[in-house]
Amino acid sequence: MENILEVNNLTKHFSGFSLNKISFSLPKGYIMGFIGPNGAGKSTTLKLLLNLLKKDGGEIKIFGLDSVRDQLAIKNRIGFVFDESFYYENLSIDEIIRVISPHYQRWDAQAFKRWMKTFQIHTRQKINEMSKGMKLKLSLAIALSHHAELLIMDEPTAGLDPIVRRDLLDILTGLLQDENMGIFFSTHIVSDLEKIADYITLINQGNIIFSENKDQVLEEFKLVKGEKELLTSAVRAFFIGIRENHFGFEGLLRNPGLLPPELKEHILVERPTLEEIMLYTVKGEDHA
Amino acid sequence: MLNLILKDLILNKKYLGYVLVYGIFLLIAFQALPGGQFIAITVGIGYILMINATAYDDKNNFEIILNSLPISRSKIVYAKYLSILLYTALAIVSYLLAAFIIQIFHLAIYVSPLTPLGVINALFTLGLMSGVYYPLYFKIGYLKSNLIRTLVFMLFFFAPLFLSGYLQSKPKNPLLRSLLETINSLSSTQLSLIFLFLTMIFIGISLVLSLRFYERREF
Repeated sequence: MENILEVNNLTKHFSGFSLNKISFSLPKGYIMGFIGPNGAGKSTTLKLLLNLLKKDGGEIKIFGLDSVRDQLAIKNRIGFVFDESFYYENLSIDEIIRVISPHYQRWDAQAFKRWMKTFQIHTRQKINEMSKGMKLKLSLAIALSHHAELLIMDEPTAGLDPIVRRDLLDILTGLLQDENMGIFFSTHIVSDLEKIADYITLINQGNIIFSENKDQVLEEFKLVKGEKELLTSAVRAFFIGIRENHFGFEGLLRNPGLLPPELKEHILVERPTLEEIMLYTVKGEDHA
Repeated sequence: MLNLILKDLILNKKYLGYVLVYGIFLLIAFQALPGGQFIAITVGIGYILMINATAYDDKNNFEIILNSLPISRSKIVYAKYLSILLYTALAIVSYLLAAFIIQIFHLAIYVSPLTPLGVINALFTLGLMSGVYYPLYFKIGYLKSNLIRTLVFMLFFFAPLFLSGYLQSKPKNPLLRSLLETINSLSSTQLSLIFLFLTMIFIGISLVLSLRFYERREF
């Protein structure tokens, strides 16, 4: 499979936070969910992809091109949606398009018109008169009207009502009918990804915890429930994260087959949600 | 690059309507300074337009969008420097319109005539001010450069008054005296040419600094 996005040993240092040699890749035609708690390094990674931050080490390849050396060629082929609108508040959509569209080689005015019609947005409207959902749709329409092959989205669903979120997820799923496209979607609202993502990359404190096929992740991770007495230090060692209360425990692990056979009769094994996987992985033993 | 200059014009559209009013207001305000009326007004208006464009970019965080588009950072910098020409032209148009209105209504307001030398001096004064401001803007942005920007503006407006007062008091420093004598022996055209030459060198250095700062800037 040809990779549309490849990140190898990407490093960035700030005072108090570092992105530590992270690596992952996204094949063409798929959606990757980039998940992690606030401050994990999601936005830093996305800004590095767009060259808004300068990397300290490693390599980013988009469409097989170098993200720094070939950035203009790459930016002509990618679309971006940020968690907030950065368009001039007192300009109309028509004016914003007049500012932005000449910079894209493949700008398609007809496609933009169609998207505006689909989203029921009037182009004479000013940005400051638009809701967050409408601004998101505008960003998406701009991204799609220059025929972007890779969409990079930073927390696009944050602060949106469930209906707009659902609309967005439907649009994204529809876009993937085009096998040449890829979507890289960062979020901390993990339930959105459960529906649409093909790959999941979990980042925490600047480190990639895993970057894998979603179905494989959901299949391999298990949520185990049992009585507290079963939780000896040897058993604890099997778990990635454990939550305890007066009645018992609940813990996340990978490969439940490794658990001692005598334990299996006394525990309940369930399939976790992505959110539970993230929560237990991030919180570890402290999870309470 | 033309599109980036056009962007700044679109951003300034709200102010373009006021520019005529500024022109008339400033013509009245600078009655006491007939020699410097034209330059003070055009530079004042041009400076406001230049600052406005950078303020809009920074306040709306539009630079994040701009740097995510297929535009090189050097093009963004060059466009800002080139737009000084546009601001000077707009400022001159506003001056001429204000003068025209004053003439039509026979208002008792003195308007100094427009001369080619005046236009060049205005352009280069604005270039000088932008030359100080732009490297600062490209390094730290509009909002963070607020205090320094205000100081620069004050300096450009009050320094000539202070300097001419000081020089008229006949300073005793021999080096300064001989410099003054040399300056006095030059014609105004010669002086303007020297001013232009020094300004161009200054703008060149400013441009190199802006390119370097912006290339390294992180968002």
